[in-house]
Amino acid sequence: MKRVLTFVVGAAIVAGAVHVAVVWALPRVIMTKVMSAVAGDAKVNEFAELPLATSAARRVVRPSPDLAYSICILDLSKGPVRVQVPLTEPYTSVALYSSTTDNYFVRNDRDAKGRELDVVILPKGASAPADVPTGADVVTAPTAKGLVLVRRVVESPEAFPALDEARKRGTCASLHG
Amino acid sequence: MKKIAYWGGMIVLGIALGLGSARMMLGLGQLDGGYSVGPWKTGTDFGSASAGMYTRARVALYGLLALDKKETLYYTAQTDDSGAPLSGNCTYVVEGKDLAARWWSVTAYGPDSFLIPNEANIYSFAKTTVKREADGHYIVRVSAERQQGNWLPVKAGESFDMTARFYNPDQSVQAAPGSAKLPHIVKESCK
Repeated sequence: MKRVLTFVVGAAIVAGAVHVAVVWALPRVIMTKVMSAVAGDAKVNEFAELPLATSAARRVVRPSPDLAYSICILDLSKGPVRVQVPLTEPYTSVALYSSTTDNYFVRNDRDAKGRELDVVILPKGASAPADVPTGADVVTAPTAKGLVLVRRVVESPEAFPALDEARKRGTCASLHG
Repeated sequence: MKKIAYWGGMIVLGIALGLGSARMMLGLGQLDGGYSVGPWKTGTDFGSASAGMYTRARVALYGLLALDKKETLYYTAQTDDSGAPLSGNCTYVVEGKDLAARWWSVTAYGPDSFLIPNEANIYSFAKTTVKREADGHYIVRVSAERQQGNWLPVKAGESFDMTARFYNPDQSVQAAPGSAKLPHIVKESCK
């Protein structure tokens, strides 16, 4: 009887541990996989402009076919990174994601003070450097690795070429060169 | 020998139960943050730092790199208005008005959560691309076969779902996601 009870309780403990481990690890593993997949054709701390999503786009689930994405793989281990994003109609946003998938910062064109979104991203624990550009949003990242995702709504196929030109002017670079 | 079977069996059973229960908890059917409008379901903690362990895992599986509700609200329908699962073997009439947002789109996804290959390269309809009736409302046919007027292609023999995206949803929708107006999805015919 005691052996049966031990068996059931033991199995339940193992089951609980496996359950929590899988659920906890899943977003981290997937995010790491996605970042390395995207990094295949992008350098760290530099924007890459993705083509419009079609059925051939199979890296990230549920892509929006009406959005032009630019992506910058962040590595803050060597200091702050500055992101400057020119705006396009009818919607542009800059979103920052941690390596555990959390979206810890987002701004869109309506929030922008000028004609671009300007964000300085600090590593955790760092204080803002004295030379932060005026008007820039300053945000602290929860993890050293992560990514910047810029979304632009493409109103129609005809609107894409001009928007594509504009997005290529965006920069993602180390604040101190 | 009996000892190995005893402890081994316990561990194997534990792992199987752990994986099975995790799989169950993370099923797409669980992607239900609590609000629904007809067949359209949404959650409001996607992508936010307050998301719990399960939401975070589900988002990684089904909606990685999502935005929070001030920026975008996502509603997904896996069934028609009557509650029947959406099937690529049927033609559906999707009818509605502008969604309460700065910009909006409705996109079809296959069972693998990717865009559905089709000859016309159409994957969605949106505020600025949908053709409208005289009073401004729209009628879209979702079907594996080419349709007159607005057509959103899907694949015969496969299930599909649709995601409506509200970019910068109106204040009223942000405050009460269950009160949003979304298009009706009505089955017209099946093969």
